[in-house]
Amino acid sequence: MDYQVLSIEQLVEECAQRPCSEASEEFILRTHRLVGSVVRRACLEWNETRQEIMDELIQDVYVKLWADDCAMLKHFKPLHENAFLGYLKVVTANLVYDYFRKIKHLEDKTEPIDDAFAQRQNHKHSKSLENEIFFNKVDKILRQRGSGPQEEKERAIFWLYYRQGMTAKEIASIPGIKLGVKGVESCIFRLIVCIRKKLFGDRPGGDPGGIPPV
Amino acid sequence: VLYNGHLSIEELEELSQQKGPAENQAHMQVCPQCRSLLADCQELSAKLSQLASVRIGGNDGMNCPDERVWLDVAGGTLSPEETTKYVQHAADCPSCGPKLQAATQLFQDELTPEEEKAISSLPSASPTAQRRLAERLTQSTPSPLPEPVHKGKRSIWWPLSFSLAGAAAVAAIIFFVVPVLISRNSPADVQKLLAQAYTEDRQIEMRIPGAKHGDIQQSRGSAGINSEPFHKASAEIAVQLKKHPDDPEWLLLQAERDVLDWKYPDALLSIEKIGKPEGISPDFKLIRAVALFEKAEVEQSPALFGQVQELLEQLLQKNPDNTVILFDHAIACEKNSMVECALRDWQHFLQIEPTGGWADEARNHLKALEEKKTPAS
Repeated sequence: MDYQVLSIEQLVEECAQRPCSEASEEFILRTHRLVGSVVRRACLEWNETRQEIMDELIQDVYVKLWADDCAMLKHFKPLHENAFLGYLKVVTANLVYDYFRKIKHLEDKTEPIDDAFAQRQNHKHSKSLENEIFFNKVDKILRQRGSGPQEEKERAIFWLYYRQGMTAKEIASIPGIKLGVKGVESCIFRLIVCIRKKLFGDRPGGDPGGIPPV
Repeated sequence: VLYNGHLSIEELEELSQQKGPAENQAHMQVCPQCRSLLADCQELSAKLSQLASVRIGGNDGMNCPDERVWLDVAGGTLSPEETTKYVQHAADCPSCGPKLQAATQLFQDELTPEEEKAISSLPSASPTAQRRLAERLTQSTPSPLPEPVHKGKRSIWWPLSFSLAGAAAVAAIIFFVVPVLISRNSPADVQKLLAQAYTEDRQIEMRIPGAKHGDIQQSRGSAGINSEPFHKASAEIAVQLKKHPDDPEWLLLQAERDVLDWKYPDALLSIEKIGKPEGISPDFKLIRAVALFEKAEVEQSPALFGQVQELLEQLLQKNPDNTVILFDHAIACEKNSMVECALRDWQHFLQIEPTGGWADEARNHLKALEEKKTPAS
């Protein structure tokens, strides 16, 4: 069988149902870059730069997928198109984090994952009342637009961007958002216009602003 | 086209982002009203941009989910409803928002040139290494069913030999296969397998029921416990839970399996699913205590260690001489820096179980605590 022509989902099914080294090799060839990138980034979060550790963790991902007669591959249920690669990223990240959690437990030297996250936050913990008032004012405007799923999703996008500091690209990469980078940017633009109109008033004859109903 | 001779809010917003046609820029030069409004728009943008660098509100009462959820959200392994729920939480929560951001950064598809170079230079990136790994993986999976045996020429004794062989096969099935099949599904047998896995590849300090002593593995085992009994038990639990997803006995075994491998969030989920433990194994509280102990270790949470100790105390009240509970309680006391409590437990433990691997380990703890209590001058 020519495994190169199969989609990743078909290849996963082949590996799970009819395991053979050719199918497995094709699977590794196609996913090594993805697994490697997640392993490397997760390792760097824990200040681990050794190639041999990264390499071992990459191999562990495949061993885990093939364990128990390929149980993880067999039991994978796609929730949407191209879901497998997202699943593989999650499996990989959890494996690396579990490894460092275990090391932390055994050696008690490495920072816990919460600390790693906390370091990234870099919040100034400002208690500026002015910012708090401004935030509440803007949030009130956003909530006044409605409480339907669409409005709530757009409010979440807005605050992920402005409050959490995520880029449009990062927001668009969340599969559940179902928007491309342009879609996220456009959503933020429309909300900004809506806020400005509420704050400064609209120009006569201008666009009423807000999000048109979908 | 200007509305009433001025720019619209949309056009002003575009201008504040350095976008829009040149004539709008030109209009700004001559219209003080639009210039003033643009300044307001720019001030608003600046204020909004500032919000990302300050912390607004706390996460008190936010009921934050387990941090692993953010990987699932970023990886798209949850249902759309769950994803929306968590994304909305992250947008409002100063603690979870950065975790979601970290997860999306971890999963970005685009690689920097530096990342490309680093990954392609890994030994596992070479075609030879990948071929070897593929072969290794395939060898570890069960071989396909054997080809059917070619039928030879039938002898005149064939009917008789068939009957004899048939009778022998039936007898073999009755005496060997049936008991194996029956016992294969027994939770007690799976628990024995888990106990064996614990002993062969012990990853946790606490003791679990029915397990013989094993040394704690100091070497890493990032792919989880790699022992035959563990894989067998896992497979059987998975099969049984597929058939009976809410069976408390199998859920508890699943939790036990997860704690052996430091998967305490999964273990706690299974335990939560069991709900009321009445009528099921008395090990329920013990496994819950071990799962919470792991969580406490990872989070370094004294409150959680306290909870573990409390759970074990409840068990000890009913079974004061149970060596598994005593052992675990002593460890929990140590973690809570309650030296007297730990000393008492170890001494009590050694009275009941004075010999063997567990006793040696208890003696080491006891010695260390006594030294701590009376430091050499």
